[in-house]
Amino acid sequence: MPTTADVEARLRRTAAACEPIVEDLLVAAPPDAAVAPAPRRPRRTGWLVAAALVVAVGVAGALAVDRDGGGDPAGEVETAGPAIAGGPPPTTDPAAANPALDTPVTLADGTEAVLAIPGPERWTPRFVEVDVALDGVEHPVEISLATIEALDDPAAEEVLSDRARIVTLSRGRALLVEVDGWGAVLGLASDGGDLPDERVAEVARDLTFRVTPGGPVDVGGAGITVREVRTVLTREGDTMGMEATLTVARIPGDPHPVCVGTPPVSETSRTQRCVADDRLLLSARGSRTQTILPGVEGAIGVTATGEQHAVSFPDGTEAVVTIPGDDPWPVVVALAWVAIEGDAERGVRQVRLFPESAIETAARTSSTMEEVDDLRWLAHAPDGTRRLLVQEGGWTAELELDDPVPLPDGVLAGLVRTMDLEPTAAGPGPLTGQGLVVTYADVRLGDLGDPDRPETQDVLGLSVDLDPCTGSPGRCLAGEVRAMPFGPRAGEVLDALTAEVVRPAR
Amino acid sequence: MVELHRTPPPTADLDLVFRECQRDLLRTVVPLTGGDRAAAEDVVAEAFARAQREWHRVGGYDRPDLWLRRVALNLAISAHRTAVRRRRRRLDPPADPVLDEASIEVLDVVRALPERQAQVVVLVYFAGESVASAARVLGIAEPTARTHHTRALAALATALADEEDR
Repeated sequence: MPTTADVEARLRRTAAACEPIVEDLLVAAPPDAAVAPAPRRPRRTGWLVAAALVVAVGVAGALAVDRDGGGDPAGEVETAGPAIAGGPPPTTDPAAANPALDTPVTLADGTEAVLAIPGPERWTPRFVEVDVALDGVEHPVEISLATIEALDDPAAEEVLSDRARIVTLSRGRALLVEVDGWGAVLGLASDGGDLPDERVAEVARDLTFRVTPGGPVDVGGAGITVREVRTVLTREGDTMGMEATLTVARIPGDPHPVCVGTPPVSETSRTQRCVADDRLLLSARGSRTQTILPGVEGAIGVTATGEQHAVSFPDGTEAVVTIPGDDPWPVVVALAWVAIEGDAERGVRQVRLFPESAIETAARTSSTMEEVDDLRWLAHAPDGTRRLLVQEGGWTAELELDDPVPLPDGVLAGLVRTMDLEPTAAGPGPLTGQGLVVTYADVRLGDLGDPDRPETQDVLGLSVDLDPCTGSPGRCLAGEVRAMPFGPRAGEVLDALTAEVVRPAR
Repeated sequence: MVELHRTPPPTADLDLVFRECQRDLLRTVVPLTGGDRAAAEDVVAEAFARAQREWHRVGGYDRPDLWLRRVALNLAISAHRTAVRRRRRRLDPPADPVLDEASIEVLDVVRALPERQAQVVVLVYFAGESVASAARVLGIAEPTARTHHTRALAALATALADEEDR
């Protein structure tokens, strides 16, 4: 048994052995630093609106040229420039030098995607990898699909049928199922060991796919469940072995692919980001391909069921949110953070909005209720603080006037006279008032549960900020709109819900 | 109802932070990827990409470099485990080794340690940090880091003895 000193000595020797690799990888500039994201392209809104639910795809860029660990990765980062190798020379405006070309792809599960990949080259599918679950086999297995030519004329060991045979490839024995010049290759081993012969025979009989000009699609068959599809694209005329991989992943039990951000749904995704309003997972592997990653835009559409819910926010934003399932998601409460002109002492105040009359409740907790007019009340609490209540169209807005600094008298007078809201069936509607600006709005849909038992709450929070949504916490839906789940039901629908949003002009 | 966490705007320059900490970052990532240059490069690029995405928040931290290093450490561990799974499942051969056999043997047993222990080991022995500063990088208490350190050395001794016996 080595002593602690022995172990430490070996660790230090190993560290010294790693040091040349560290030196090799040191770069003068951070990865992607030379590459600015391409300007956002106009969204294909018509296409997206047609899709009731839009789901997820990943794009993984794989760098084949340096797969064996050779080359000079450090130099690669420095010299990769704004375009992929073979593209136009680097310029100081990489986005301008790399107009994006649309790349429509039909993935092996039938999903349609359109990617706009920066650079002058077109990308076409070359081969496909499909992770499938087989009934009776504990671990998922991988099926690769490629043209028969690309499979390098595999020798048949055993002919199973006119389209299926056991072959020997350079990497081992495999089942090959051939359709229209494309072959589906299933390695005859999984994490759990070799596949039973009878299961191989069943797969050979049941595996189906169609071949289209865009490659094989609709991979499936009896007892075969597709879990993840990776479509490997290559550039036309490419001599450098550059590849990118489109990945559609499904969470078990969810029939629709979803963009879940981090942690990755795909084992192959190392670098990823959600694009197209968080509906498309974009990921890359390899530094060169990562140089085009920031500029890739994409859109993908899959029709799915879901209920549409209109939501009107206190800042005037209108949204139609499509939530999977047919559960009701009524607006149960809203909140607005407001800045009030002349209220420099406090800066931001909170307005709560309830879909009910809160005047009676306020009266019970106040020492006096001062009626300003038909719509507005001033509630005076026993501790001397005041609240302004506005009741309109079944909604009540409540503003703490002395929390924690009293509103200046002049500002208060103007606000008491003018604060208003315009409720609709979709929510409290825009909150207005003299000098009042809503800076952040939050609407809760669902069931607030028992107030004494927070665990009973099952609420989907939708918020609108002045700043673009950054994706964490929760999930960005569109531009500045974020969704946050509170409760199991909300968590279940979070990944698949979508929104069409109209912001008020500012 | 709603908690608003307004983070101060970024005060640090991401490129500068990256340049200043990339050597330390690589010294932890390279061993955790088994000396695989491409994998290490991917991890660093991914860590940087995440920093770019989160810089509006992370850039306001007192030590954004620690956040970057922590992310890279987690990514390196995750990448290794993913690679092992995929190598078992796929027909792909492993990447060509670039280190000597003894070093690979040590890295293999380090990477087989529980996640925290492996992170402490690479920070202390590969990045030259003290156990206390390793704790700061990982955002854990120093006594916790010391426990991981002690257990890791014991586990490594056992694992390396087993290797020698084979």
